[in-house]
Amino acid sequence: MAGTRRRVGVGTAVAAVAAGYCALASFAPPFTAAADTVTAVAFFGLAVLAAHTVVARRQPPAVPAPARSTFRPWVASIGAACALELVTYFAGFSDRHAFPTLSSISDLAFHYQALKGAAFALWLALGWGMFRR
Amino acid sequence: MTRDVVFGLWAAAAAGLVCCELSARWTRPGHRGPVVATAAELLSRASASTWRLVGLFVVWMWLGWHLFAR
Repeated sequence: MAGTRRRVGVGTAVAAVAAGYCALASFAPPFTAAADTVTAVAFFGLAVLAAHTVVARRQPPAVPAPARSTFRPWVASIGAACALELVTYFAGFSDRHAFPTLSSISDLAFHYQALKGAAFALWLALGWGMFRR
Repeated sequence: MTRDVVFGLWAAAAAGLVCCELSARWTRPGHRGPVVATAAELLSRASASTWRLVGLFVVWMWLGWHLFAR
């Protein structure tokens, strides 16, 4: 009971710190030392987590992995997004306005700080999902 | 015109990823097993070995640096 309460408390504290950090990141304009720093600190944090994962590796999974075929829709969707990025990148050399890449769309979206903070949170969550074990 | 089409394609690509996750959750538990893996299962599989984990970390860093720093 006390252990569960403590875990919930730690989780809440971590979530609050992460939310504050994402808000901070949303105020850092790109190509500045502030943006470099907030991104690099996240690199460092996730590098520590990844190193811990590698060292502590690795209990065999309790649940059997799903069949290979269940990953196909993901591979197709991610492959299509990567192909679109490549096509728009090369097609946009002469006219970037007509062929927006992921980064030009994000430049537009990141004029809104809430969107930038949310994207930063998504990026951190992706890293957390990949490296926590 | 071209810009609108490209935006539509990007929206479709994003919707594809969302649909994968939604269909993964809606199609389980099934008596013949899941049809689509969840994003968590995909990440778990993608980081199954140390080298894959290092590769994913590099890709993750590049994405963050490209989108938020530079």
